[in-house]
Amino acid sequence: MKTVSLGSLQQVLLSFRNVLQGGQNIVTCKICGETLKTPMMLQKCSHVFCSLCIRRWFDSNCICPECRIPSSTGELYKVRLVEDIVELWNTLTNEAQVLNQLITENQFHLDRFENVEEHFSCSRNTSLDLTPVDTVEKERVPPDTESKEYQVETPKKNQRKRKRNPSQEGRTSQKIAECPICGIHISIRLIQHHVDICLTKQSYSRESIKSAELLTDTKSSVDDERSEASLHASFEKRPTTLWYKNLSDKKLKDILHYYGLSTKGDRNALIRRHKEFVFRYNAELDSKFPRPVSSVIKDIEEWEKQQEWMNVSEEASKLPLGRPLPVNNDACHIVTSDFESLVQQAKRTRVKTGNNFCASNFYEESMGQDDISVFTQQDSEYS
Amino acid sequence: MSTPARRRLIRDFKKLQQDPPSGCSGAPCENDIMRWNAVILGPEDSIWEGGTFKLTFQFTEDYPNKPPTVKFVSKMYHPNIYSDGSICLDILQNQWSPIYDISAILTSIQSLLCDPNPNSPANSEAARLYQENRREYDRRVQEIVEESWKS
Repeated sequence: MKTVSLGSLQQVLLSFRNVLQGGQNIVTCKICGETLKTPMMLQKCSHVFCSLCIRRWFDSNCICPECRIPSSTGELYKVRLVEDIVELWNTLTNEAQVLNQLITENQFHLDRFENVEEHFSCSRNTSLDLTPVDTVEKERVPPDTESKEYQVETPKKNQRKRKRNPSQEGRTSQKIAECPICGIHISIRLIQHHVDICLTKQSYSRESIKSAELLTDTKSSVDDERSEASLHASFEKRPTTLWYKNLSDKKLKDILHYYGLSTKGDRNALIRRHKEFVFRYNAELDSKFPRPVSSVIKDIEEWEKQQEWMNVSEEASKLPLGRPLPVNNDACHIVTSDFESLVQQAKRTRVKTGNNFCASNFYEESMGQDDISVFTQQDSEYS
Repeated sequence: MSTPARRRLIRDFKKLQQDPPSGCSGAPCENDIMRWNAVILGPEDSIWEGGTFKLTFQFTEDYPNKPPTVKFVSKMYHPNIYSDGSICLDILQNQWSPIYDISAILTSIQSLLCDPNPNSPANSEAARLYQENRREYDRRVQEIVEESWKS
């Protein structure tokens, strides 16, 4: 490490970063905004989306979301090359992340960097008056990371972190923290980023390992339920959404029962459940390592629980005393003051475009000093 | 709790923060990411210049496969905006595409201000004045712009 000049390394990293940012746009699904999961190509226009995303869209539309050429589920094609490239991309960004951490770990000792951070944290704080989660306790975050995204993500990420390792909380005051997932020791400032990466990596590899086991499995360690539930053998043909108007409730329930789905709930719930199963099951069939149908059913149960929970909390918020906070007057106050800060924000976007040159210069300069997110997928996705 | 719609909205928010379109801003309301407030500044060098117009967005769990409901909170005078603030804009109705995000919607509404479509009027008086008496139309818009400072 001592023999490498950080300056020259940064140069390489910066150009690498640009390449990665461009690449991230290519492998991002335009519908969900996330890295493509089971990419499917449209026959006529060659646009690519996640299988699940495009299947949901085609449920009530028959045009390509990007170019509006008439299209439908029947015209979806799997292109193995695209799938492999996305997979390669995930590996690449994960590796790049590790590399980036190594570099930034070293950079943290540079005084220059500290100054830049001071500057950034000042300017950030002034613009953050009434953000949605402004009460969240915030640690100092790396300079070139948008503070807003931290605020929004923090509560969720923390929950996920705690689930995996409750003892993590106590360590926030130390400089070095241990990743609850992979166990690597890492600077406290980087831990949030690192855990994000680790989480996606983890779920991704776990799923593929599980399904690979299932498909090739002869081991006795895998229980019966899993080995018999290989997705390919589950049903004779791919399920499709139906003309529900012509279906009686009983028939609908029979169909759900056939697929192993719950038959609870009213007619709308049944239809929604069937549709969701069709989308998810087909998307699963498209993927390289399909999970068993029992996993799809579990996912749908989970999804329904979430929807239910959302509805309940939405209903509750409509009732006058459903939620203890905010009280009506306060709510009005929040909204108006919120608008005020939004007006200020909107005005700033104009000032910024006016002084574009200086702003971008400073931005680049700061990038050179500390480039914590050179390779973080979260950041580069939105460039 | 994260659903596809909520995840996407968080992404939209990040993008809006990192790369806001000129003269636009928006943020979700406290406790409810499905409800957003937004502000559009009147485009520069137009009769709308100087106006600060407030909007609300209401999303559903079907987002981005279904467009949000967008309404002006500020009083407006425009051929394609109803008196209750609803907007008659193709991309918010039949021309919606799931690749649109909040930035795209805000930019579209901003450009709608200067380029009304009098052929599908939501405010027939404004549409008539826009076509027949531009001076009076401009005056009415000016009133709205000034009113937007007060509220």
